[in-house]
Amino acid sequence: MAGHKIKLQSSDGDTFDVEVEIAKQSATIKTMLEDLGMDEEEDVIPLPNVNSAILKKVIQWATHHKDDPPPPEDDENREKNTNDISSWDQDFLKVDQGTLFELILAANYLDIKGLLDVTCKTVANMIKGKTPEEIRRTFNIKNDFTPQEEEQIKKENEWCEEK
Amino acid sequence: MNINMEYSCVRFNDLPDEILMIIFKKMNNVEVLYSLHSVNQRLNKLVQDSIFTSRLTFVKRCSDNLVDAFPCNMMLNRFCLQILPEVHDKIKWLDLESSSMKNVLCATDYPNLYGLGLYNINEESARCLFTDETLSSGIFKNQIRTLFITIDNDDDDSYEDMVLSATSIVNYILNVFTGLIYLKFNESLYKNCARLLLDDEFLPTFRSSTLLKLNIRVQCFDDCLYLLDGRFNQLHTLCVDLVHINRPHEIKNQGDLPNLKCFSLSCNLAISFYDELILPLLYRMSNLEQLGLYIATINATFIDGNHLKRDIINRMARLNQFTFYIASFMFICNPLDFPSAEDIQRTFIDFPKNNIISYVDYFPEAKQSQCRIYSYPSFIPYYDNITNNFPGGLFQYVRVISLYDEYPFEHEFFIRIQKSFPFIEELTVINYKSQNEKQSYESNNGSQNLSLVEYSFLNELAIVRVHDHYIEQFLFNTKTYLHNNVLLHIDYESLQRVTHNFTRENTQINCAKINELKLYGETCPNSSLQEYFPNAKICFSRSILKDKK
Repeated sequence: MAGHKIKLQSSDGDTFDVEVEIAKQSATIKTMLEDLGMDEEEDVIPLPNVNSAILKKVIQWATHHKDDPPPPEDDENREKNTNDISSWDQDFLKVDQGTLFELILAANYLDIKGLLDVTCKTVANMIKGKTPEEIRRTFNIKNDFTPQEEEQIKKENEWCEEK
Repeated sequence: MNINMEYSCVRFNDLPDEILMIIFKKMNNVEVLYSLHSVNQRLNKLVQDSIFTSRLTFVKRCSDNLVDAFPCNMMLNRFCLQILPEVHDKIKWLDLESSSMKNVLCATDYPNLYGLGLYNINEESARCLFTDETLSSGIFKNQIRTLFITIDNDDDDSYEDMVLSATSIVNYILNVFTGLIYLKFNESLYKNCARLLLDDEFLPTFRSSTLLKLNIRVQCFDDCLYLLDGRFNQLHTLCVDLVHINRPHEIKNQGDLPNLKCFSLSCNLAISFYDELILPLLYRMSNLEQLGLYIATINATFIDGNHLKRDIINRMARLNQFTFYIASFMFICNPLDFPSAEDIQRTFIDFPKNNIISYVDYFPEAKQSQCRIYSYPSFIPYYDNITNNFPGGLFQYVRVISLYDEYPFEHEFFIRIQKSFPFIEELTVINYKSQNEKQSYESNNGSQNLSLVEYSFLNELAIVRVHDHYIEQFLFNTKTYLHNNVLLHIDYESLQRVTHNFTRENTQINCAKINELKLYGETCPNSSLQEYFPNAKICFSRSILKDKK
């Protein structure tokens, strides 16, 4: 079926012609095509949870990775490594935080394991080594502890600084 | 969640818990807790999930060692004073490095802790930890059921000192951890591997009536017999790795071992006593259900599927899982006298396990041949005398390999080896034949386009008995990427030749990564050597006999 195309429709109504083999990196789309008997040539696959800008990025990623071997199964015992992101993926993910988080949500919804893996690793690398205060600043997170709890944490942190 | 937005304004805190958990699972639990504990109430709750708190590993692996995960005291203090007291009751397992283990263990109580990994222990840190009265009479005695311990031997210690140090640490263990069920005793790195000498004189207290599972490296077959002399009378699983299997001084015990259900034996050096030692030991294990046998033998015949069926499978009624790697060596005058690879593979046709690999190498100059049979996937820690006939596969437990052939190893061969053995720490090459394709790489200026062979964990390389082409293979930065801190064994004159008397540009980058250089040969080193190896401690040995393998 290489070369055959399907149409993917974003939440804001744009349609994209995509090769079936590229689109099938999404387990969600693959299931729609295989289980629901959708006609590849005619039908449009609606993707109501992905907007046009993000869908375009997802297709760009899937096109670049179309010949990749299937990603390995998750193994909890394997040593965790977030430093194995290819230089192409690193460049591809040089985007603002909002786009990065939308790509994660899209990869999760479309069930594209490789994209989900590499986007989550990128966020993990943004977290690693930072203190809670740095995390709040990096991701604009509000500290919602009560004054008493906050006082307790401060007290403990003072200990840390002094030692 | 709907992400149908014209402009991207999704924030970190908008991500659903399910996604945040996926992100956090990419990190080690210690990294998760350090950065995200106490950020806000939602994250605080998420990171206290048992996924992130049941096992905390405060040790990480660098290229050549295991190191403490705390780069500074502030991090350690944040854990000891803030995080650990809050999650203490969720922690079931701690992996700790010697420099911070006591601080972490004394930071709070751990009511549900049952497993402990203690890494880079030396005699001093063991004494300090195991003689702490609170820990010894509390957690160690009453709670810890599983203990993984690795010893950090000082590179400068003699082998005898390393053995004595290991023995001293072992003497503490079963005295202190009196309820232990599973003990795994190891060294941090292969290069520091000092095996235990088991003898009542050295190890009077190394016995237990609670221990069910033991994983250990010892010196010789005698030590293996000591382990099975009744000192661990409840033991059902024993995994033992030996330096050598010489004939023991005396067979001290020959009784039945009815409790033993799983047994694994590995040894890197070839033995001549397979029939006399290994088989009788196995026959004592009348209820054995799982067997792993990873050995090399020197025999009058190759050990093949028929031998395994006749001598092991048909003799052990309860055996239901048998994994093995057996290399047999034979001295031979006439190549027609030994069986072919097809003959050997045919002996496995009706073998109970399907995926068996076998192949035969013949070395006409040495008048030797070797036959390998192994079940795949493989769990062996070593793989010696790999030749061009190597059929490939993934060997992720192998840490030590040697390459030997009477035919040249081309660059593609080294790529295959790196892919098959991604975690090797020690590599020895013996090959005096020049590479055939080296000229074509260089005439086409192809070395620029060669795939680089990267050895991520290599910390010891022995290229003493090789053609100069293999020295270039490893020292040219266009062919091989070495990580820092490698011990290099090499012949001095060959090194001088290949590096153009320590001036060559192509070899300079990799030479700068060597942190220890052991030179062999007769010539005294010249003054530019140290400049060329700026990070290396250099020592010189006149005896070629001391080279690796």
